[in-house]
Amino acid sequence: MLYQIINLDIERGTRKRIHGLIFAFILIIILIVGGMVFKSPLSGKKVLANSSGSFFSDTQPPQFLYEFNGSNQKFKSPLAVTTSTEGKIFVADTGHSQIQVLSASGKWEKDLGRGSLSYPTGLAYFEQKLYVCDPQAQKIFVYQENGEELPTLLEHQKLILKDGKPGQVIRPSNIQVSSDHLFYITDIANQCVVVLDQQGKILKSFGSSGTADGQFNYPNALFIDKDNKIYVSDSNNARLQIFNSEGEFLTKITGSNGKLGAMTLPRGVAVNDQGQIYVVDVFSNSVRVYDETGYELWVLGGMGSNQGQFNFPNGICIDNKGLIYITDRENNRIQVFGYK
Amino acid sequence: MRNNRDINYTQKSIILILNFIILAALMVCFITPVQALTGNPIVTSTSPEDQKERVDINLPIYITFDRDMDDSTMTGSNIVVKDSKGQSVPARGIHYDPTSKTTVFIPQTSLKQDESYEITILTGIKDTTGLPLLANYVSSFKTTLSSDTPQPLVIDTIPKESISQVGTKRVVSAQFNHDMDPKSINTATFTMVDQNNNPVTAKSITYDESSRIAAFVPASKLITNTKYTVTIKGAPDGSGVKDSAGVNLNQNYVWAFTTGNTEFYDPHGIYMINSNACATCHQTHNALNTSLINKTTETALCFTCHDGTGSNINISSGMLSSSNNQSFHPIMDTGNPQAKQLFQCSDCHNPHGDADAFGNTYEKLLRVNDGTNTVYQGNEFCLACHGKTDRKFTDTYYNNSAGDHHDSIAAHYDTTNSILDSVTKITCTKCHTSHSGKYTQLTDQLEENLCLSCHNNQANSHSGQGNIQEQFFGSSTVTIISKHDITSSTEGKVECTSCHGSHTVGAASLSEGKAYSDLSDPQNTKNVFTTVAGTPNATIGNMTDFCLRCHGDNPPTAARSAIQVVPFSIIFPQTTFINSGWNKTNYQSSIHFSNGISCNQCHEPHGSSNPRLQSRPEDNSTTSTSGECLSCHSNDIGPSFNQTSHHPTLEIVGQHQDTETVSSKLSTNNRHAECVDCHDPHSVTSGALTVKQGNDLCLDCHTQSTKGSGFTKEAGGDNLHLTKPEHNINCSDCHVKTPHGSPNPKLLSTTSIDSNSKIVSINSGSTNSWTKESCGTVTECHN
Repeated sequence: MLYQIINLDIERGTRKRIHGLIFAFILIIILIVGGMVFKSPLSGKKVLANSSGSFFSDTQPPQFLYEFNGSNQKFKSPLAVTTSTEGKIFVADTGHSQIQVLSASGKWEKDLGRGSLSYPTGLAYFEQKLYVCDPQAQKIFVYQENGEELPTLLEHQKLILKDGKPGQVIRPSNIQVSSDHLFYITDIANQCVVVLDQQGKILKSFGSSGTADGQFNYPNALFIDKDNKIYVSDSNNARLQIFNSEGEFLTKITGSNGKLGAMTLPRGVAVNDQGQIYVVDVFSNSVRVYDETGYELWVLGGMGSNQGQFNFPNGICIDNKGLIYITDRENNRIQVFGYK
Repeated sequence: MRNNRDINYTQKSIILILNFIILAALMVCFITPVQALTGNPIVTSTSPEDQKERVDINLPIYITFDRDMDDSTMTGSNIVVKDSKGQSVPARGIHYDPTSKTTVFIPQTSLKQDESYEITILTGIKDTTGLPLLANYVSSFKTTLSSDTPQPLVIDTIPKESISQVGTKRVVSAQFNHDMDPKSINTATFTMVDQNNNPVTAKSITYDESSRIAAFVPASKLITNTKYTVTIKGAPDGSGVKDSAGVNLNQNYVWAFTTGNTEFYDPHGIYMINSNACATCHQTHNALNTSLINKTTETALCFTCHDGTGSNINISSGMLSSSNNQSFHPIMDTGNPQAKQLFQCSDCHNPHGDADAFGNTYEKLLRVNDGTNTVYQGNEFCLACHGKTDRKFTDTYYNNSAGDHHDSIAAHYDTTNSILDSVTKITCTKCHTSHSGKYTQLTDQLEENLCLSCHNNQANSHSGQGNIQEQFFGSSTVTIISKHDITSSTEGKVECTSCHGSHTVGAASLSEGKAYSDLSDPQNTKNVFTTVAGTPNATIGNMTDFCLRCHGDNPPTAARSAIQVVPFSIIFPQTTFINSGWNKTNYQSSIHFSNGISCNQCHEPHGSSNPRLQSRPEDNSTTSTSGECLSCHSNDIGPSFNQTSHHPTLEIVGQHQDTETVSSKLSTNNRHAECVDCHDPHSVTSGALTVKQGNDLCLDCHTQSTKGSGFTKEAGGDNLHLTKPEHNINCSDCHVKTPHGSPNPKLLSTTSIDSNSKIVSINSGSTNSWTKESCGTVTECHN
């Protein structure tokens, strides 16, 4: 029957009809192939909305590049990582109460702080010195790169609160240096950010315990960008708060519009040259990446022990080449993300 | 020509037919819902179904596929839900369950009523082999009508209505069915008063949009044991709370609760105030761990904050092998090989809150199951594992932890005693730590310090037992000379718990004759020591029996099992002084014992201002009636030393040293003779009152080895009375038989000297034949 109909068409013999059928067929094939090749209009719009700078670093998520886990002694529960301008990598090997110093390729060079560190959680490298926050010891240790331990920057210091009364002994969880060479530390005893000069003198603090804007609940990490904007992981309030250099609250990111919903336990935070905000979200085992408006660009990782997956990630730093170092606590390793 | 044309047509026809068949097949592929698994994946169904109406605005959206899909492609960019105005609905979460091949899309907030929604599932979604969805899938539905539920309502509260024992630091909250206008929820519309109608000041009143929960944080702690009434104001005039559409809560919502004694609260509150945070710990459909816990180990999850970085409660540091702690509860995955792999945190704690099914609240999120019942507080909490039932976690745990600790008559067990009471009502934790301990058996102090931390000048031992610390260590008014050395770790070794099993002892002295006493059996401190026969798990005996459990033939050696506990091996310090050593077994055949004298009639159990734990000082005069011996033996013994010549016993005191030797004892400046040199009160038997008999007793001191000490010629090789066996002369032949004292010089007996104090005969009346004439050559004696 089908044959008869086709035959009838042919016998009626207009070439237009034949060509029409062929055209329709080709059109359908093009549509199918096109639908497979091109992205959906919606996802395409997201990429466009945030494109600026170089194509790869801005419109695509960074990829897993490589990992290292301590060549001399395997890391145990590493919580923090930072790099020096010369490319040295410093890992807070927290479970071993020490710092491991690695070459840029991840080769072990030396350990720092054995015997003096208790529970290092935050690192900053500034002017050839490594600053180590130890909330358990309630100190900020200072090391020269040759391993020599210098006098502490901060030690068993009580914070004087706004009302003039003594607060708790500061438990520094993390440290960053501003462009005007001041030390900003997160203090999980008084739930605030404390600003120190280079001699360790307390200049000011901002924040207090609570859930309102500008208040904190165990702020575990911070980052200061080139404009001296201060990004504070307000961990137990499950949000990132952003302040100006005066400590005035600007905005906050909760991540609730993202793929995984609101952030669970933001810890390490770093901002790259394009202003993209990388937040390590511990309980979702991922690194959330936001633009400056708080729009979620990507989610890196996910639970697991394969390359590119995390098991309780905690700390992050982005070096001057744009490489992203993430401490993968329960996998006892550092993973490096970036662009090939 | 015609032929050529026919051939061309035939060829073209075949090509066209083939093309058409391929086209038709492709069309079939598009239209047919059942797709062979070898092709591209398809959506098999959605919920709500396409075109469904009056869909509940709180239900999530489910999308089911025909095969295993790639979880990582289930993103907000591939699953798009839009309302009728084209606005995207943000997702609270998108989770894929491989078991049911279903993805759930949970909207950030409830959907709107009276709205139609379109679900678009895009071809960015791939199966596990990387094949994309065959085509975009579109489905639509309409939500319920606002006429169905026009009013905002309070659908849940914390605390719930009428519950008691609410913590005084608890946040009070109410959950609504609608999105609410946050501005309408304030100190005027969300209020709380106590039972006297005094308003409670709010530290903050907040509204969480995603969970629709309004929370009232009191400015200060609530008053204990007080009823509070909470009101959420509803009013038709708009002065109460209203939803985001401006619809009023039309009447007040009022509920009440009563506080308890404690301030405990939900420490994990921030993770539990809205369900959005469930994903902090759980997966929706599948997870690596039990209870859908989305982490590989629970300990790692808890230690994320409880290492001190997210909480003041730092459990992790004590569990580390570098912590110098000696004992650990067997918590899994701490990385410390000394901590056995046995329990998860949630075996003892309920991370979801401190309330039981009835809303009663308990401290520290405690919750344990003993195999049958769930326990939240009190000693029963620990006894869930350390009680009557061997839970058989490992072959050795029950023995290693000394089995059943349940003993409701033990003094320490009574949690109604306010001194022992704690907020958890777990008396065990007065001495034991929960997670790790500096010392063995999960303790944080040396064993004696644990005891003395209560049994000190607070005098809080049971009635009449006084200040135990002072009894051992003295005070400004009490000097301690001797004690059972509970602090020594090098010489003797005895501890409080060697005599007082801390899980066993009762609040009564042995002499009270109760079924329990403040003593336990040192050979097995799981047994109480009592005088009452028939008491279960008891060793029966009197005070002497008790002392001999250590001061006997077999001092206890350390042992620990489900049926026996000896906390430490008893080690006695070195001594050279005590006649019969530390072993006082013979005391039971002594005259003192048979006369009913028990150890504690002469000795103190803990410490004493006198040597050797003696209750009384040495007697220091012949008229003494309160010293160690003369308090009983005053009638005859004291005056016997009150004679012309006597042993230097009562006028010299404090000379004996436990480590003295004969030569040190008898050095010129240290000469003394005390009652115990001749009479061992622990071994003397009736008819043989001295430790040695005959000359042997005297020669213990009066020997040749004391040459130069003034005893030179009295005994030994120079003394012919002793060196000539044929003489057969005993000391007592010339000296008084009870050599306490004599009216004659040198303790000579009256019958042996004449009126000139010269010896007149030897051993008058005895059978030997010696007379003074027999020694005629030694005229200075034998005149």
